[in-house]
Amino acid sequence: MTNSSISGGGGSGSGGGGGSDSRFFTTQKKGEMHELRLELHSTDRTTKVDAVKKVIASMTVGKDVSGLFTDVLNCVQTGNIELKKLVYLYLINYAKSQPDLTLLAVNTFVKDANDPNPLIRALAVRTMGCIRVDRITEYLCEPLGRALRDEDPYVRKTAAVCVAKLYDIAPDLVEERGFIETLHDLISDSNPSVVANSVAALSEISETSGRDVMKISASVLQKLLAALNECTEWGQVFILDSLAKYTPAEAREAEGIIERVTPRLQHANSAVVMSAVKVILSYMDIMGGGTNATPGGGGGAHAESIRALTRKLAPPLVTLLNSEPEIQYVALRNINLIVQKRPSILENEIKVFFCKYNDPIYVKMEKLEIIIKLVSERNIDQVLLELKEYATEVDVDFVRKSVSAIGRCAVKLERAAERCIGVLLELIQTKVNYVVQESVVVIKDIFRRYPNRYESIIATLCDNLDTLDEPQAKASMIWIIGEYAERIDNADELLDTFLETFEEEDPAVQLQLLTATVKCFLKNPEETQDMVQRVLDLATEESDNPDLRDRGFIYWRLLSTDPEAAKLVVLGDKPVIEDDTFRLEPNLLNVLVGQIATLSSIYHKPPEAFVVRAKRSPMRDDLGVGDVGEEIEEVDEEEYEDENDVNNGGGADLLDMGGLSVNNNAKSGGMGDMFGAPSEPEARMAKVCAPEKSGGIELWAGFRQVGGAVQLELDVRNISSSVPISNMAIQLNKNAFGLSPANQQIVCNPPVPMGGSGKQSVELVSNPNMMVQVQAGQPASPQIQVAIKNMTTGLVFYFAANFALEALFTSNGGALERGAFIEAWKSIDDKKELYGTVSDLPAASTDIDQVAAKFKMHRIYLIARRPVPNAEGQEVAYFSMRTLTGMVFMAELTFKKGVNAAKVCIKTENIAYGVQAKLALENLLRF
Amino acid sequence: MIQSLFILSPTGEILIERHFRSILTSRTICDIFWSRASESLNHHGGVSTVLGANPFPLYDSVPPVMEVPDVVSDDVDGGGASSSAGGNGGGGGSLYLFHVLRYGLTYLAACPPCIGRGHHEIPPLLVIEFLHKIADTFVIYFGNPADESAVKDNFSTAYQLLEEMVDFGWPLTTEPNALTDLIRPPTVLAKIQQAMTGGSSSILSEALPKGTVSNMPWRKAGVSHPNNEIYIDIVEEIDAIISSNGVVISSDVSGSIQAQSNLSGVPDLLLTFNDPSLIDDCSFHPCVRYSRFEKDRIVSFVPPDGCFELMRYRVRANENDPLATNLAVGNVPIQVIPRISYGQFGERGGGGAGGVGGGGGSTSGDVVGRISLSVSARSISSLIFSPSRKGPLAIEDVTIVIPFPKFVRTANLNVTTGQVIYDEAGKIAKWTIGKLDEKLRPQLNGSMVLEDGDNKETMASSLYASGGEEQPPLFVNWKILLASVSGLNVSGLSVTGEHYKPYKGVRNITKSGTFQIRCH
Repeated sequence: MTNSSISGGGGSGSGGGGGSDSRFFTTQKKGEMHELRLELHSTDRTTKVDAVKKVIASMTVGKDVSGLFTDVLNCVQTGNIELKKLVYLYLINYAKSQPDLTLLAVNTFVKDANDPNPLIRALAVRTMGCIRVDRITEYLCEPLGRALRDEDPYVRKTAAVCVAKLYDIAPDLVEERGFIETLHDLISDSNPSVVANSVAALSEISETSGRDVMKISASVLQKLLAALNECTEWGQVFILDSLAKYTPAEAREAEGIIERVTPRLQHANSAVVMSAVKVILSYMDIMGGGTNATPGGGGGAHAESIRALTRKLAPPLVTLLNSEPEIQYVALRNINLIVQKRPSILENEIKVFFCKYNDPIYVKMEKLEIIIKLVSERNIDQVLLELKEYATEVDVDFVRKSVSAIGRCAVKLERAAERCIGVLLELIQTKVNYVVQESVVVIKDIFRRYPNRYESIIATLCDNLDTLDEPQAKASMIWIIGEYAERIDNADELLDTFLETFEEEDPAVQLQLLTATVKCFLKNPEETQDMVQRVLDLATEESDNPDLRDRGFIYWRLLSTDPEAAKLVVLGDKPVIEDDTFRLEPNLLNVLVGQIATLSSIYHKPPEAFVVRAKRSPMRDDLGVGDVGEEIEEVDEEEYEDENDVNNGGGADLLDMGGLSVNNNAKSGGMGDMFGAPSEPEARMAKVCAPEKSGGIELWAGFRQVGGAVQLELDVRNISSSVPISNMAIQLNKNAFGLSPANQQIVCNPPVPMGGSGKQSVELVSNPNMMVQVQAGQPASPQIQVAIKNMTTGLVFYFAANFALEALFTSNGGALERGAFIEAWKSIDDKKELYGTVSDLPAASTDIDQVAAKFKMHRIYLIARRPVPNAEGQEVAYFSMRTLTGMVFMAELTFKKGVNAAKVCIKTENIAYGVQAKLALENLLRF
Repeated sequence: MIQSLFILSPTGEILIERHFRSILTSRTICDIFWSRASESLNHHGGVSTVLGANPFPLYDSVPPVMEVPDVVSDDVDGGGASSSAGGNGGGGGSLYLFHVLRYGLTYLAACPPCIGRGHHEIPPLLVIEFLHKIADTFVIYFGNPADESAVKDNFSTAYQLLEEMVDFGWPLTTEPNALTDLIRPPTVLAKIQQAMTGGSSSILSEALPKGTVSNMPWRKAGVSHPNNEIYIDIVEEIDAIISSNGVVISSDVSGSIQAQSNLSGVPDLLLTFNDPSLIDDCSFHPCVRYSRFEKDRIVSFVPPDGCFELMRYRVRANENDPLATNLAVGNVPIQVIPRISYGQFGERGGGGAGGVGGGGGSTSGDVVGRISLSVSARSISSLIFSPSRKGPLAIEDVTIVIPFPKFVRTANLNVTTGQVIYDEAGKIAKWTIGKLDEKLRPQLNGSMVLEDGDNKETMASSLYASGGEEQPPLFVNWKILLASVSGLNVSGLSVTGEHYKPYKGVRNITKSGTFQIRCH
């Protein structure tokens, strides 16, 4: 009951929580114990019961009454159930510190486990399970085995829980006795509580053991679905969570299960509802793609049933918002994920997220997040009225978030930006200090999103300079002044006032002041010469801040060497910001959506982040399994770091392109006619994932096009995973090609056993939402980051593969007209040319005819060829190609007789992807 | 699973403590929780009694899930000698605390982020729902409110209840009918007996009644009533946010069907509605057979004994009108027009400001506030009345709760109807109007004296600037009998499986949910 028993009774040095408990200990009256002891030995039943109650009351307030152990234990020999229950309560709590004494009670337990009264039989089994003393297990197994088959459901349900308790102490005993099989039988028990507890016990044993004792086979699935209708609400949650971990083999099975789960959306218990939502959402993905085997017609029907499901999900989610605030909070955190994944579910329900005044602040903050996610042109006016209202409430944090939400609406909805600014200006007029400051910060963002559009309001902002005292607001205002110095008559004076206090300012403000002053100088050199000199002095000589000093020196040098260059650098175009700062990265989002109704969904952290080093239990050490557990733990941690590796190391692989090819030369002689189906070239495969990263799976990946569709080819090699690889889910990070899997499921049929391997194709579709913007002047990264979840083991691992651009070339419009080609070739500036030389070519790649044939298979078309004048033996060939995304590349290849090398020149308007096109050609030539 | 459960008194003292696993969660986590919770007390702190149906929590900015360092748990495997192993185990992890606040008591559950070594956690909603269930059960057993003294008086029953409700950290039996079979609630008679004899009468049932864990855990076996009767209330609650000039900003109607069943044996009931299409989406008590409702919109169930909520549903606003204001405006049967302002009324020298003088020492130029509210019943054509209804419209139990901003020191309020109480500590007033008909036009007039503190200047400036916009909204409570927003009604209720003919009573009630009026 309290840990005073450990620090006090055991005398160990743990003492952590002992301070507060010892307080009660010292105030204990001297004679009290003695008195209690006498009462416990009283012959009067009422006195006895009262005495035991007093003992338990003392435990509750933290007193150590372990000294009365034998006296209390004496009272267990009674026919009175209440007294017995109280004694058992006491035993459970002190058994931990007095294990040997507890064994004295074993005879009573064994006797009670045979009592004619089921209540007492159950009590005995339950209590024995709670006493975590090694030796108790010798006595527990017999009665437990009997209890699992007891005629009374009350005893059976208690026994089911007890199996999990025993597994915690002695897992091998549970296996030996076949208790796990018994639990499986109990899933079909006639009593709902027994079913619920059996499912709970099995799930927990699966978790603790890491073994899938809850493996869902066809028969188990039917049992669970049947039990779902019968068992208690808590059991329903356990069953639904087991179902969520199961991956249906195909769309029809998923649909069938969803049908059985859907009625749970109407349960009064929110935990049941949320777990049902989770099952439906994760199965929807499976339905979405259909299996590869299904002919094309199936897709439409699935799309329809997905739409129908989407409609069904909204009402129960909305209903959760009528619950107690604690439930609302958890629901809102989950809804936040759901609206990111499937925005259509709640698109018409924005009003239910409007805040009520007496909503707790944590509910209001979450509602606000969802309002911003659901805001659209249709409802913006109403939302703005609401946000304006919130901006007048009492709670400062909430007000600030509301103001900043108005800015986020403006950044998100171009057509509503003006109205949003109107509201912000109204709020600035209230002169409430923090409202003004927050408004200035978001107006800066609006300016960055829509440059040169709303400068008319600068005057109003300037009127409020005095109110700004927070660094972020100041920095924002100064940025605005610098950026629009030419439109503000007294920009230099305004900056000057800030400069007076330069040394006291926050570093963020100092940096902005420095930049703004330089901008101001570049725009109006005559007036501000002195000022800029002063700022540069302050930044480079007076400051201790290395960032500020560095920036100061750079500006100084730029200004003194080449003012024109300084203009280009300082006044250059800035990247336009987007409202994606609040969106979760798609990989993480998909992981989290799979974790709906768990802690992950509240904290929006992947489940790995919650893994704690498992508590080492001394008993496990005796059995020698503790260390195994530790090892598993470490693997988990490593995995989590891997994700970071991939993210940080992006682009580092550029030079490694196609380094490990296992592919033979593409079948040559493919000059087949245009209308025949030429055999598709194989993909160049490269090893992308080592088995130690992914639980024993080695992966090779390559890209190619089949029948007009881009495919990611995977070679799955099971190096050391004892569990055959059967189901995997795949997700791609945003990439420069906007590719994402058409179907996230990968089904290995047959499963890949240890030592085996299998080939898988994942169709990729180009989706603008998955497109990562390539930074101006930078080449696009070929890297595609991939996350794969092994559905059987639950392991998620990450790798990166370099995309082969030829997989994206299309036959549709790839061959330019000769005239159009020449026109385009001439029109592209020579600066947009990319040159390279490939050497050590195989013989086939030095013959233009063969090259053209091979290129054609990759939808790269020969336009013309001609000998180079004045160069003996040299010949050039011109090719054109077009990607599915509409980018056109033109290539000039120069060959020389007798030299196994070629010069490649690429011209394109899409210069960012030029490198990729060049690499594609070079690789095709090489292999 | 739930590792440990604590129930804390309103002052943070531990009343009940229960550990379900091998790990004894240190009491220190309660201190950590309490210090974080106390940091964020809201200024409408102790007003729950005044607000009645809509209590503000004592602390309301603490999210119901909290991560705390688990550096203090003691691993007790192997007893006292395990201090080294315990230290090894406790390092670096986190515990997640879930809490629910009821009648001043904090129900606190401590859960580890994962059990064993797999990535599995307890579903947070399960914990929160379960904590609510414990609180509900305490109300059934110890009466309403189940507050600190109620739990202290019945702590041994509380422990026995927890024994039945949770085992090994998993929720087990939570159906009130099943629990009352296992543990008899303390009856008035038993309490008196106890007081008379000074002894403790047994509160446990001696034997396990037949079918305790029957296939219908929600219904106890062997129920027998001399009069078989069932009462059904169809309650529709309007949640609304209304602007100061009476425009409905948002409204939402949620309905529930409350039943009180006093039927003997195992009655199987069939409940049909006049127009089931009025129900938009619904959630059911576990006793309802979903499939039947899916199929033909009939509610088929074996009821628990006693009071229970059969189902909840939502009445959907007109979808064609995105703002749905027309519908909502029509549905609001009561209008409250507030006029609240803060400013330097003294200077204007109006007669009205004279009344403020009572607040003491308010010289000309002091910042004061004025309030006036007018209340009226509105033509409520869009409410659907039961045919049995007679007489003119009457809105019953009308009360208005007026929370004041924290800069108000005291208020001097007068009303034409009913009575008004101002709670100075909570800065909140409650105006009880009672019955309101279309002829009555209750008025409230008054003035507020503001705090004079050191920050008077800044306070005043923020007041002028914001035009007194910090005035929180008003809350209005009301109810109308025999009226309905949706028009949903029961068209039939039949009993099979038993031979008696029960008395059946059905009525509609429409009432306020969270019904707030903004003041600016």
